[in-house]
Amino acid sequence: MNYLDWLVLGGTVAFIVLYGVWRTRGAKTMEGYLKGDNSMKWWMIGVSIMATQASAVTFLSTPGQAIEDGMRFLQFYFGLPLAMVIISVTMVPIYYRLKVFTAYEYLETRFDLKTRWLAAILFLLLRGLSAGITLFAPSLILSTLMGWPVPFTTLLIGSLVVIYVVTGGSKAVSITQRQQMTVIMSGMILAGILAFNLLPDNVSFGDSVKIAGKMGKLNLVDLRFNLSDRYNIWSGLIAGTFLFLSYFGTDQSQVARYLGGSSVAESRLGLLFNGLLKIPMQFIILFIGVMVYVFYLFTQPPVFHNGVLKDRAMKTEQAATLQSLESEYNALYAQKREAVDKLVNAIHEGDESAVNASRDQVKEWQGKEVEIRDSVKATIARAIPRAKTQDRDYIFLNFVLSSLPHGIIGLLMAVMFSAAMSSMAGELSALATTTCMDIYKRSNRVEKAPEHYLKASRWFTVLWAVLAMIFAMLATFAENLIQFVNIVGSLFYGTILGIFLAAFYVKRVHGHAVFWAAIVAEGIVLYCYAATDIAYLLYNLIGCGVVIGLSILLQVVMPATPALKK
Amino acid sequence: MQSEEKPPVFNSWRQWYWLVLGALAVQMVLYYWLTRTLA
Repeated sequence: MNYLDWLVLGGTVAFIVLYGVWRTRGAKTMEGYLKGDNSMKWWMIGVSIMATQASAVTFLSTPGQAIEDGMRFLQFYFGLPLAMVIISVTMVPIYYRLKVFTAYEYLETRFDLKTRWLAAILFLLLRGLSAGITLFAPSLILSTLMGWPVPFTTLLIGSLVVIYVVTGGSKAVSITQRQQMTVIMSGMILAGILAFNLLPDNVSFGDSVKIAGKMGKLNLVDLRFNLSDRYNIWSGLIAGTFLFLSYFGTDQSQVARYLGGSSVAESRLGLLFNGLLKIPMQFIILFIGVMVYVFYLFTQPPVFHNGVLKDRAMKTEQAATLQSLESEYNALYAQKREAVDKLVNAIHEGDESAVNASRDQVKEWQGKEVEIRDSVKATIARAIPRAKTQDRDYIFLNFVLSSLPHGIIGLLMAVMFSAAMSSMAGELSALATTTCMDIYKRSNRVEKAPEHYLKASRWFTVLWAVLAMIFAMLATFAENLIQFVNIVGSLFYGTILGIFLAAFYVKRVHGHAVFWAAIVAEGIVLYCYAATDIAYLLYNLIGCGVVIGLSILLQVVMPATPALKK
Repeated sequence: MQSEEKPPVFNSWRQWYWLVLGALAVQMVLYYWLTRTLA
């Protein structure tokens, strides 16, 4: 990075923070701070929903996922439009009618206080963990770039977010997310275009798509039904629907986005906007990853994408082994490149059998590359015990830093920071709102003035930011960031969704039954995670199904709660 | 704030929901076709 990159990065981040503070400096009421005065239009809600969901992890990890595993991750989002429709029909009108600050308030109206607290605590657990990961990704980038310690970069980014969230609350989150999404989408599309422009002159866009297809990277839809396969059309449509119902319908970080709408219609349109655009957006991000994969067929990729870690390993007694492996890797690339050129020629000639033969050759060389890369990772692990040797999350970052022009590098870094700040801001605001309204305010025996709770919300924002920073500093164990975030979500979302679906649709079930069913369901989900190889998306289905099924059974043997007897 | 508010563009919310679900169906067919054609 040179001065131009730092200027672009620093200018973008500073503008967003200052703009957020300036536009929301007058937030003096609970309604204004926690719900943005119900002034949001549908397009602002839609952008805000997308920005909250898309963290830096999305833009760091997803292209790497496409490079290694192809585009099949797209199927994960097939359940999202279904969830948007269901939430628009059922949940939005109820939340508006009850004028709630948080989704969990509704549970006390429908069931009892302990069920409200259980759902709120499960949310705080999962969102608190996720906020740490959200912060960890950009902290790692800055740490890698500058050689600064991760704790310092974590503190720096976390503090920037705290400044405008504490000042303006939910409204500051939504307002800044507009700028952040503009930076994110323009930067990512530019990166994709540049990746294609860096290909040799004899490789057209059509050729690059054909190459990616032949190499198995355009595996967008898999119709096979396999419970232990994480990404196929069925896991996306069935389990994905449950995950997104839970995330958008019961996770306060998303519910807060559309509760800030000026009417039910604006909130619904915001959700449907997300339902229409989310899959194409993910397609674009994954396709950028595929373009980077094609780019690395024509340009030699590094043997290990985390350069800082490799340099550290080179200073140990494993240096000679690493150098030998790197030489072997470099020699191999020349032969792979020859096979890639043959593949391009065969595509130009339209000779299908030659195309398949060349593809097999490229795959054979790639297999050997993978073997050398695995040896490099093992050597680095020996050199630096406990080092994270999975470098998938660094592939896109490495491409940006080593192949894109100055100025654009700064813009792409601003993309990562904008994404991190937008989702972390949404999470902190939701964590603070839930802690204040569901736990703190509801536990107070004596009702205090609104100003007291406004002040408390600000302090809870700072508290959760500190906890997220501490967790981010400890988060280096995650093998693949985007998967880790989704796994954490799947551990808790099924149970939370089960509680809400029971509330909406199973009228005869009361608080005691749902509460105990939820406790059992969470235990079963945690057991599935620890002791089985069931695909994590299915935890949502299992958790939700157990809560609903068991609560109906328990209702038969349990008396109604006192509140409901009245 | 009424849940029966009339939506913009279309006459009913049901039409909006079908638009979203229809777009999903079209995308799934398109992506399946791309997978089959380019693999």
